[in-house]
This record gives sequence, structure tokens and C-alpha cells, in this order.
Amino acid sequence: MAASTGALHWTAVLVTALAAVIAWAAPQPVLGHAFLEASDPAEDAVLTAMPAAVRLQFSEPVEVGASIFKVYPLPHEEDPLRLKAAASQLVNEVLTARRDQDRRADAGLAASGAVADDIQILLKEDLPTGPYVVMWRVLSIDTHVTQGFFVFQVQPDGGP
Amino acid sequence: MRSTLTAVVAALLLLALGGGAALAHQTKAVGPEGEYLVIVGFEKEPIFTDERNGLDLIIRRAADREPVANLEQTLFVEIIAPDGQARRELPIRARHGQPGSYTADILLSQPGVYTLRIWGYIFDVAFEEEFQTHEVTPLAELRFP
Repeated sequence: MAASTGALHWTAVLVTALAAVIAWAAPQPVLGHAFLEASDPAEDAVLTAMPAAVRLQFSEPVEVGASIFKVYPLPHEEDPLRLKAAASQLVNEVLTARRDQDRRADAGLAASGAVADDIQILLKEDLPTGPYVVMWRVLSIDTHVTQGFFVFQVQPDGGP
Repeated sequence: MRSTLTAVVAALLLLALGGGAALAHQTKAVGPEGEYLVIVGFEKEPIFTDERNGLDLIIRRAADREPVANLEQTLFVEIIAPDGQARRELPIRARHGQPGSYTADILLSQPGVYTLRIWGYIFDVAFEEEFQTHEVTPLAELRFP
């Protein structure tokens, strides 16, 4: 009985050690970084009316003052892939641009504190319908920088 | 002619400035004027079967070799097994902290030469290219004794 208990103990130790090695060696997503978990409007959403704000929910809190959030209008484009391609080009051109308030569709952030995982980007009033790109570069509190973008559209008739 | 020249110059620059891993990568210029370089390889080269590996896809502007970021939503990669039968579209993601670098995890289970079909948009440039991997070697060849 004592022998079988000892064997069981060592089996448990081995299994635990093996699990630890596997957990260490397995490909890990970069946990702890701030990635977009949800948004409103959602990615690729087609809305019938312009929202008053865009809400971004990140997986980790971000340093708001050291992060960038922008919304830009996009040219009309029927092909969704070409629209995303146009969005990616615009993101590369303007994400870090300064003094671009006139070109932007957003009016800055709603007050959210110095650190937040829930960001609200206010939109300007009387924006035309059409496609828009929401872009961000955020500094998470673990000091890592992540960035991304997504497209949404406003079509009064609800689109095709 | 111009795009060929751009590709040759870019390849020479890559050889001169790139790391050891980049030597095993393949480069093609895409776009009407060869504006962009599509550089393809694997994270671990030489490639062995049955070990976790990853696509190493790099997009650069040909003119100045600047990396082109934010393309993960408009790039697509399909990998085709050596037998030509099995194929899978790989979910591409941007590599954290490495602008212009994209990857997808994969474990290759058959030895041989795989085909990578890469297509999509680099901004307003639509492209589709095929690459052949180097020979993938059975991991068993490394076993000793």
C-alpha cells in the first residue's frame, strides 16, 4: 500500500512537472498586452445612423495620455477588402500625424481618467454617411505598445 | 524591367543587411513598378517536420526598405502540402513590436516541399504570388542514437 502511494506521488510530481514544461514551451499569446476585446460599433458594422461615440474595450488598462485614438472618414468603396486596404494605408499615414483635427471625424475622448480599459471616442456632429476607420496605438500599463484599426459604415438604408 | 531591377537591388540589400535567417527567405517584388517586397520564410530554418514553426512574412517598401505595417486584414496565405492535396488557409497576425512582420503558427507533418500562395492587397496594390519552401526534413533524421 505504501509502495503504491509512493508511486502515485511520483506520478503526480512527474505529471505536474510535465505540465509545467508544456505550459512553458507552448506558444503563448502575449498576455498582459492591451488588445481590443470589443467595440461599439463592432468591426465591419453597417449602421443606419451615425453614433455619437465609438467605444473601445481593451483587455488591459491603457495609459490614456500616452495613447492615440482617432477616427477618420474613408472614401466610398464597394469592395470590403479594398476598403480595408484603403483603411490600412490611411492608418499608416495619419496615426501619428499631429494637428490633423480638421481631417478627423472624432472630437477627442470622453473623460476616462489617466488609466482606463474602456475608451470612448466622441464623434463630431453632422458627419456624412459612409465608411469610417477607427485606429489606435495604446501604451498598456505593462509598458507595451499595441495598435490596430477597424472599419464601420453608416448607410441610412442599411446597406446592400 | 524596372521591377526586375528593383527586386535585384532589394535582394542584394537584404543579403548585405539582413540577418542569417533572412538568407533562407525568398523575396519577390510585387506591384506594377515592383513597389513592395514580399519576403517569405519560416521562423525556424532549416525546417523539420513535427516541430512547432511559424510563417515569417515580411512586407517592405522596395524603394527604401521601410516595413509596411497594418496589413494583417488584407493579406492571405494558403499552404499546400507536398502531395498537392492537403491545403489550409493560415490565419495571419501582425508580429507584436515588429512593424511589417506577419506570422501564423503551423506544424508541418510531412517531409517535402510545400507551396505557399500569398495574395491580397498592400494598400492599393493587389497581388498574388506563390513560393516554394525549402525541403522540409523528417525530424527523425536528427534522432540519435
